[in-house]
Amino acid sequence: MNQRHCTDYARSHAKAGVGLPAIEPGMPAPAGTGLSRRSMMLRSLGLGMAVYGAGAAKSVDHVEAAINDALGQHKVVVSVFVDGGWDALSVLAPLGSAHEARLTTLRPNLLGTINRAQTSVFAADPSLSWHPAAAGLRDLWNDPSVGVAVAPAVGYASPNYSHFTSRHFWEVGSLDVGASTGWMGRYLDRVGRSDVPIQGVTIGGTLSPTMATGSVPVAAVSDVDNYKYWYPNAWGSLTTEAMAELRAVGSRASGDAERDVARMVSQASMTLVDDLGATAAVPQPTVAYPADKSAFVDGLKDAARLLGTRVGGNALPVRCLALRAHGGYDTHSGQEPSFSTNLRITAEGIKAFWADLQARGEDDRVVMLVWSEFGRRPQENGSAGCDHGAAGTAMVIGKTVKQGMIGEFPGLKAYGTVGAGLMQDGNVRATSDFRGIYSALLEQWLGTEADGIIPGAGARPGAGAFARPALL
Amino acid sequence: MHQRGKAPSFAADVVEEMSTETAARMAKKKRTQRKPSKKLPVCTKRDLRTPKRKRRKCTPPKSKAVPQRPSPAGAVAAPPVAAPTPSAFPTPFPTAAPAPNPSPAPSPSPVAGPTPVRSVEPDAVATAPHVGLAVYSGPFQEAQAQRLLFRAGFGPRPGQAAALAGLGVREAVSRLLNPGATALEGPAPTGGYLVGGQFAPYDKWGHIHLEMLDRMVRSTDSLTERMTLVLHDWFGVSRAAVEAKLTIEHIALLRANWRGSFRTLLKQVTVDPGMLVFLGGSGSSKWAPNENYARELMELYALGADRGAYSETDVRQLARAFTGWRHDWSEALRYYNFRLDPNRFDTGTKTVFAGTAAERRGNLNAESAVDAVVDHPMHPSFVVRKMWSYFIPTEPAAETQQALEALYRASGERLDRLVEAILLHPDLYQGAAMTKPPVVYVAGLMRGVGAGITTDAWIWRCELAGQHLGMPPSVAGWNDRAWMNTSSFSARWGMAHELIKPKTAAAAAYTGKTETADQALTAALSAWGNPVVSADHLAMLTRIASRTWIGRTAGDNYGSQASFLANRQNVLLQLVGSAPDAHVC
Repeated sequence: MNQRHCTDYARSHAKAGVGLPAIEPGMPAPAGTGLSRRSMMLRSLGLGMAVYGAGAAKSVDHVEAAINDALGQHKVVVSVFVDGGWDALSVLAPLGSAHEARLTTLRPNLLGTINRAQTSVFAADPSLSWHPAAAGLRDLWNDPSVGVAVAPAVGYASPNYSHFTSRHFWEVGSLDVGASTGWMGRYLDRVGRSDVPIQGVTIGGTLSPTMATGSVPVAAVSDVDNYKYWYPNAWGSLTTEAMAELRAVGSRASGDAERDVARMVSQASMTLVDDLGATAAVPQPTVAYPADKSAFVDGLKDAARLLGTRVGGNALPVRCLALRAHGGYDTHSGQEPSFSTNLRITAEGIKAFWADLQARGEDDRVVMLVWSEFGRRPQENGSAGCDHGAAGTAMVIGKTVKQGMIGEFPGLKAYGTVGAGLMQDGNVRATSDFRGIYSALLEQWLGTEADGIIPGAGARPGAGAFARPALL
Repeated sequence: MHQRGKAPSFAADVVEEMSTETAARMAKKKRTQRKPSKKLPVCTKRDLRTPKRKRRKCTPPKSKAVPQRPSPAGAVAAPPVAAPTPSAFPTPFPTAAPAPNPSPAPSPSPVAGPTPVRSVEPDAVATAPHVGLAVYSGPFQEAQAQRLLFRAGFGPRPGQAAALAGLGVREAVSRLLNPGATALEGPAPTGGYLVGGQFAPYDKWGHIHLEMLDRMVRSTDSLTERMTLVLHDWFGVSRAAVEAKLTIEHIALLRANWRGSFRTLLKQVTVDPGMLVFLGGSGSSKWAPNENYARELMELYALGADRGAYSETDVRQLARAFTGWRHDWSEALRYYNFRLDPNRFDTGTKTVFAGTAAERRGNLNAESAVDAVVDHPMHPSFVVRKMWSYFIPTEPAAETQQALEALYRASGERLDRLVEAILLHPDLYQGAAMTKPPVVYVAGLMRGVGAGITTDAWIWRCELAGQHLGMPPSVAGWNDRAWMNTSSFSARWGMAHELIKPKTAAAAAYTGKTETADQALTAALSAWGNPVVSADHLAMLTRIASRTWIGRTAGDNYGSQASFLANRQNVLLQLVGSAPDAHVC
């Protein structure tokens, strides 16, 4: 255990169909937002009512309806969150001669943990090298059938060094501590339906805040094969009638915000049973995944099967998927060996997932975003680790994604020197903005305006505040 | 005073009631207390009413931890609460609730700068008027009593809500706060996962969770167990980052001290070995101060983020005050010998909250740094709102908020006083329903159905529902506003299923019999201990109970009316425990 504290740095968690709750239980309203928790709750209620108003309580044929509505398979974004702030300077280590003197000064010990013989030069910037444990990602980069775009120094201006706040910024797609919906959640609110929770799926027990919606339902599931509602020593039509009751209760609003969330979740759960019933019949992967015991690896397998599910020949109406990468990356002390283990399982898992999608013929409708709340400080600390930093590494992966870099690696030269890569506080300067990547995904991949989903994105083309990388 | 209708004001009746109680407590203390070392008289109630500056010289009466009285016959005594401070650890701060003397313990060097003006007068609260604090005066029946028991504990045992309802809200709250002898009641844990018939929290994964859950189900002092959960959530110390022993001792510290001053508790937690390891306080030195604890103390524990209470400079300044702590480690002893090393402590002048009313300057140490934070004018509003949110899902009105802040300060930051006022407040009874946290939900089911812990499946079942005790997901604890989603709903369903399966009906029991809808419903509710259910929940159950055998086909596989009736009962049993309205209180 190298984590100094825990593994989940959520500023807040998503609630089905009602967005994010207040920043923290009992936390006063964020300064300047004018948003009290009371108003949040009232707003939640209002949104809940909007769902009911849309006439939820659909029968079991909702899947078909949704498919007809969709007129084909949706394009999907898969979000992989690397929790705790991964050490970008290890994932793609600046081992090139241009950085060597600085790196040796900043990280004499951490540098020694990298087996140079097993690194591979990163073709797009030979001053960087893939960490041995990132070999799975390197293989994807080298695979001509998959495109990988790497942002080696992604972040935002005036970086925040709190896990909670920085992660929240990434989740909501803006630098607004009071924002209550995730960036994928707002996309689902725009294009999704009021009766299809599987349009946004978190693989895991807690909804990913990235897909906290304002009005439409989303789902969380830990294990697609065991999403069942058993009755004790009961069967037959009575249980079907009970299921119908648990579905119908979702359209009866009580006016109590939390009671209505429970009722809405009940309805969404009964709906989800049907979808996942179809997924349970989908064969397990034929490709080899890492053999390690890992909820992330299991989740990737489930995600691939979800995407491979067919009902009457049509795909499930999944639009967004969220997973959490293997392990925690808040390596304040004793970075190795946990960092290498966690990175290896994450990288090999992602590589296997893409092979799985190819085998199932689903790879052309999926784009994956791998991200972390920040990178770590170039200057190592005295505990064989490194502290919270600023710019980090993100990757966009997909069949049609253009191989290359999003922004450049700014180098390690100290603040105040010519060509400085570090800021005054010694952290890496960002050369790309995560909101630009989100905007590009929305506009180039999902085919919808970033304006209205990413605050400050502006209208296409080129009018926005954030430069969009050419992803496709 | 300004309440609608006949609602009594806090200033009138309640104060009178509290005063009596306080007087009795003080009288008792007089008998048991040592004479104050200084030759000052113990303050009388009248003294305490007088503003401090005008008061004659006297010593505030000492408050003490809740006494452990002998258990009544038939009840199993609760296991002794672990010592809040391990023996290997020096005790730099008082471990008992409010210190008799408000002046801080000796520091490595005296704190320069403005002297904090604060009053540690734990018992004065009852005599201070708190305008704007309403007490619920509506009907206090079984439904209201059940809500109180779920908010302040883990739900009623069969008949408990009805019994409490007869007492009225004030007596009910008073009973929760003064439960008398603490004991564990109900079925003791059984099963092969136990070691020598006991939980093994130090050695076996998940047993911290099981032991806490067992106390939630069985302790007669439900409020203490609930407050332990609240504070466990508040501080977030996790077994994932701290070894079991330190986690257990951290939780015991919270359990033993929740009734006292939050200022004192914060000081204890600051140098608690579990916390020192959790947020890297141990090992932080004047050469490389670790900012972790200073940041979280202000952000999550005492002031709140993003409201202008502190700056990044304050984080760095405060971090210097927490330097010098260290420990030793060996394979045999694990973490031990936690101590303040003067050579590693930054003795320089630190300035926090510079340029504000809260500014404090001097050679702050761990204790005076906590004082600086607690004395911050924005501290009471943070604690009040956070504490309120554990019991009531809507925000307090501005005047309520202010009155609670005043109460909190005047009581010497006593948490029990604050919680008492919240539990009496009309918003708890008249306001919106609140989602039960997973362990509250399941402990409530177990209490209702009369079950004890018989399997360690409660570890993974609760984890799937989102709450593994001893393992909060982050330093910010659990998110108590986001318990429900399609995954946790399914996990909660499984919990009710596990508990009710032994009570399911078999077809044989219905052979040759009929059962009306009413009878079916009565039986199903009774199996769960007759909880009060919402009108909508009852209507749903009634519709299922009214289903008949007529018209069922061979495809249903019931085969006989007796089998159908057993099935109907069993479906009802599951729905009583896990329909959506059963997850709120």
